[in-house]
Amino acid sequence: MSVMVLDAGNSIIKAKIARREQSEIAFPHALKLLSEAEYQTINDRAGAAGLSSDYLRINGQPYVVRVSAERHGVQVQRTGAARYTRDYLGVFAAALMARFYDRGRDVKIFASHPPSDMKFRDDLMKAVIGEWKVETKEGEHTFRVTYANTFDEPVGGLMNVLLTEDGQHYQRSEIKDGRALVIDIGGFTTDWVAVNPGGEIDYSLVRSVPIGIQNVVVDFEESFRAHNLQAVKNTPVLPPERIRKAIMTGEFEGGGQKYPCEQEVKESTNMLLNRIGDTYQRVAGGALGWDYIILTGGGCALLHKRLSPILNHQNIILADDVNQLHLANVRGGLKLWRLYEALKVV
Amino acid sequence: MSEVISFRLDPNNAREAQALVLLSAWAKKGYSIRYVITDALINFGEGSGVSISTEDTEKITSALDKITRLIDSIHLENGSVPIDNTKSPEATQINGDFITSLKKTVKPGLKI
Repeated sequence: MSVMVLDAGNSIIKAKIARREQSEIAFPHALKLLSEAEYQTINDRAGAAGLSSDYLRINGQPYVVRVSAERHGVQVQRTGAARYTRDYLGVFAAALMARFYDRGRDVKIFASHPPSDMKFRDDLMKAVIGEWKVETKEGEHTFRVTYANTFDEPVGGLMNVLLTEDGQHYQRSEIKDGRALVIDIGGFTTDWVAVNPGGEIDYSLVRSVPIGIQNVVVDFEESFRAHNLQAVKNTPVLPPERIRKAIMTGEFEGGGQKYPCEQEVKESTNMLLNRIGDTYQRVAGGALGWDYIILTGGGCALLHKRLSPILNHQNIILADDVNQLHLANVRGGLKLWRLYEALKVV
Repeated sequence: MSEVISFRLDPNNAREAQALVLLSAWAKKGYSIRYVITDALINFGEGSGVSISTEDTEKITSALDKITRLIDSIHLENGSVPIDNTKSPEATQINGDFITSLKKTVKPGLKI
């Protein structure tokens, strides 16, 4: 039976299936329920090409997801455990299955959540389980999610470093022999997980701090606008991808020019980095108690160089290539699922 | 108890040589031969209208015979050594302590 690993982050939805090609999807966390009139109007305007695959009916209700949803104006963007309902997370799951599979089928879903949402895992599973009739321009398909289970997001990042693709061998065996701290910077939360020698998760040191890279992106835009009034006067919204690159490099590229913005980056990252430094000292006890620090999540991709002096550790490991770090948790989730299957615990 | 199945692959046979290359590529990505062959067999039946069940033992045996004929000694440049099942020289089988701790952390799923 097919399995889909789902990481419905607060800013980017990621999913992965066990297929050799086209096995990963990542798109903005954007969803809007449309009225019948809106849906019909868009359908009529679509012409011969048909509706974009961002428009779909799920169990009879019309929705728009992904980039197209962002263009539909104000949407309700839920965060945290408020996402775990059938008309929200369930809709995202159905839309993902429709993008992955060209025909209906039974599917198992292995979904991640921040450690702080452990008490809502039943809600998460109930949000995706059951039958999903999805109608796109390609036709109508019925997916039955017959089984759901969950894993902690930073544990996904850990497993992506620790295990080989088949989930049954160590990829980095030295890590299992030491004590590792996993830091997962997501869109709106930063999560911490400790791992004891042998690979056992130490749940006594699990934290979820309500600040993430999206806070940095918003603050950066405000700061950049304040310092570059002429450059931004005709740009109501700065492109998010360019902001992310500017945070990584200290230089904003746009309009054929490069704008040095190290000062704006420092201002916008200050709060998040201070919170990380504070948690690192107070909760994790600083560098000396750890043999490895594992960084995962999209936020770490942008900030890992700025984190380095704060962490002051010689063995900082990125959970994947820096440009793919936002996928580390979902990739590790699939490895973990394969291991669970081999152990017959799922 | 596991059943040992050995395979042969002749590099002088174009199709089998391609299979060699594929196995080597997947091994480098971190998939063991055991996993690749198991996955291939499962997918061998999916989408073709063939369902593999206990009643299909003869079909499974036939499929294994075909794969056995496909895989011969795997020759590297120095003419030796079968494909390593691990992603890197240091990759080792996960140990009992890790499995024990992992089993403790598995939460119950939801099934319909």
